[in-house]
Amino acid sequence: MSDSAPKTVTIALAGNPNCGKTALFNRLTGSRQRVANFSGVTVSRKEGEAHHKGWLLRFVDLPGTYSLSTLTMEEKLAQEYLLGNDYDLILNIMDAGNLERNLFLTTQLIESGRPRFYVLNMADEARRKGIELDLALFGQLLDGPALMTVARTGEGLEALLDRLVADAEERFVRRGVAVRYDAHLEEAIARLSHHLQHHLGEQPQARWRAIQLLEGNQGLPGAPAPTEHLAIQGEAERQHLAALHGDPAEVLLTSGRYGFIRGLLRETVQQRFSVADTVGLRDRLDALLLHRLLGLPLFFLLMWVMFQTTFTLGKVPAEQINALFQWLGEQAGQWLAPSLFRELLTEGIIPGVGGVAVFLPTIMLLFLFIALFEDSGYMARVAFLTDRAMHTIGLHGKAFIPLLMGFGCNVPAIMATRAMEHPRDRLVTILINPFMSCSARLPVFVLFAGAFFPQNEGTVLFSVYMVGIVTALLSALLLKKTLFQGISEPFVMELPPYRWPTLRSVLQHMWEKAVEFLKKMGGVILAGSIIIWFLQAYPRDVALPWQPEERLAAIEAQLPAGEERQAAIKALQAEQSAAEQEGRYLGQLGHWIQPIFAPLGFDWRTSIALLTGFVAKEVVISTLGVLYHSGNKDELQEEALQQKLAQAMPAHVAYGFMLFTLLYIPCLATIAVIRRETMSWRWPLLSSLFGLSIAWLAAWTVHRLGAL
Amino acid sequence: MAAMTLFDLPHGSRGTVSKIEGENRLKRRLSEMGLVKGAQVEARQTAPLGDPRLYAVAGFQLSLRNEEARSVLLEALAS
Repeated sequence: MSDSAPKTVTIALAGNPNCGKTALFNRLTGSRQRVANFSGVTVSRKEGEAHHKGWLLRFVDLPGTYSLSTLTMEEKLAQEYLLGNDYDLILNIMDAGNLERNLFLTTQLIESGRPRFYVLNMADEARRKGIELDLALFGQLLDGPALMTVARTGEGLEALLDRLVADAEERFVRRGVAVRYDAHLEEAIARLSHHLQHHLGEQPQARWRAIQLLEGNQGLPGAPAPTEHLAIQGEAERQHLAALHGDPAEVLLTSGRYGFIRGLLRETVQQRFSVADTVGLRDRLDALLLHRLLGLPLFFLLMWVMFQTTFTLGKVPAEQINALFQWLGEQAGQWLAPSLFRELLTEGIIPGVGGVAVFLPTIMLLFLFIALFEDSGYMARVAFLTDRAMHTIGLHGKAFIPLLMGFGCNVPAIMATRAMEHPRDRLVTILINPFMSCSARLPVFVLFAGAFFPQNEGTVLFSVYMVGIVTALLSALLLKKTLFQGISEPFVMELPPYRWPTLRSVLQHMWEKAVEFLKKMGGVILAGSIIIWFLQAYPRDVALPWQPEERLAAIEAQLPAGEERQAAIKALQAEQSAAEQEGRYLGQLGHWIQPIFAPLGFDWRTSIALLTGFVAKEVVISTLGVLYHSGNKDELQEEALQQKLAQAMPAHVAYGFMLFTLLYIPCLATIAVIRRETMSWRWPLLSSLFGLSIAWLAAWTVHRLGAL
Repeated sequence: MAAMTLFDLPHGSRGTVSKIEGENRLKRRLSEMGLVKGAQVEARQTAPLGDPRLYAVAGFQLSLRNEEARSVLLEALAS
């Protein structure tokens, strides 16, 4: 540490989930934050800064974990970071009202031997529970300063910063304590740390490493690998202990840690009054929300409210965004001289980006609800309610919400899978998500159902959604049986107390997601729109089999000026633009791939519509509008298009087309988000190929059955 | 008679953990969440589809699948 101003220290925030760690981090750092990824994985960590009394305090928010074993990705990463040397102090945050389990992580942090500072957060809840704590003794026994805070209100934060700076001035000097175990364990630890020092030289964290060996944690990250000799020693000690006590060493150590915690709490905590009265509200809410008969209906009601609000409230800004992009297009059309660049802007970039930006309000509102569910504690209850059903297809209750969100938009839904701890379950949930029919596909279904099944529109729509759901469920089973085999993860989940969400944290959550969506999707959507525009704009000159000028002259000769002539001219223009589309690269591509779709009964027009639908599914309609020359893009006449479609293909082929649109390839934004979330092109590619195969099979089956 | 497990505990009643069975990974996870020998557990609620169930342990609420609850053995009741 240099003495040049500002003096800097790095402080790692460690704590259990639901202890208010992130709220505290946000309070301490305000807007001075940035998101970093742990190298090579999708788990992100936030870093932020605070200036206080001439010091620069850098805070690193580690993933919330219950322990530092290496069972889950978050735990592994937190452990890796804490073993390294990139920080000066561990700020251990605990839920003051739930100390027993929160202190478990603390016992492991003590073993790391690094200086610690304890924050007992949610002090208000603890006070209401009648918990009184001897802070001075608590800090003394755990070898570090201890403070009470309420991150939601900011109580105690100024004092925390003062104490942190004072501690930094003293260079975080600690006397050193240890969690003591019973005799057999201590002997084993002593023997192993002796071996460690003997083989690897002086080790500052010898006790911790010895305990890790005893716990059977293989290949300690960031530390010299245990030699074969040490690994054998560790295994021998483990077997010795297991034989002696009938339990594996890690369970014995855990019991020992809880013994230490109970001793500590006996000495430092006084229960002023019985808790029975204060948890009454939680129990009453749980009795209702988790009720055996009412629990699920109430959940579905809440989900209905979520979607209703999202779509009705989201409609208004969506229309405005739509109008904004139309205005932009008109302005560009007016002010720029006719050129390729103008065409690129008005027909490629502006409508392309606009078409996706329209979903921003939906996405933000969905995330608003997710933040509300998350912060109030209801999210864990949803997992509890739905776990049995999800377990049938090999998934965890936590997969339910992301799948449900898919009905709104697959992009936020896939982002929401981050709450899932186990990478395998998370990947399955991501891969089956595109089968949940998003709101962009609905207009396509409505159009086709209206054109082909005017008597049974509702039933047909419902059946399409059901096919999507069943496909998702079967795919999950298939993926679990093939690519993602392995032991199913235990459902050991905390149901946190109900808490009022704060406006601040809910808005921050929503805002972060929206910014992320714009930043990460923007580039991909832009590139996609440009490519599709190029394919439908080139080659510039298409040789038509007939002369438009001649036909125009013929019309003008035959019909007197008036409405009839105008209509005929319009029809001619539409026919011309459709014929030109056929000659452009996209049209050629449509003809070229049509043989693949021939067994499904699709003609080249529908093939092209599917190609453009890759950018965003609702584009399928405008493409069909152009190709069936029912009008140009700007004045699409749905009824005219429906009539033309009804003449162009039999009803069963149309149904096959609906299923194909439902299942085939995720849209560009979804592909991009899968790539982001899995950090690899492998999964979006697999998702596309898998979707295409299933879509083809589904449409083929419908076509075969319909032809009978 | 087989030993009583957490799964057999009726709603609203308490038991004391005596041992956890099953593979080490599960044993470890359960014990880290406070299900260690001597811990007091109360059975609270059952999910609408009969699984998982909700328990109170170490001052918080923990949900376990029935399959997992069956691997937590309880001490025989003294009374």
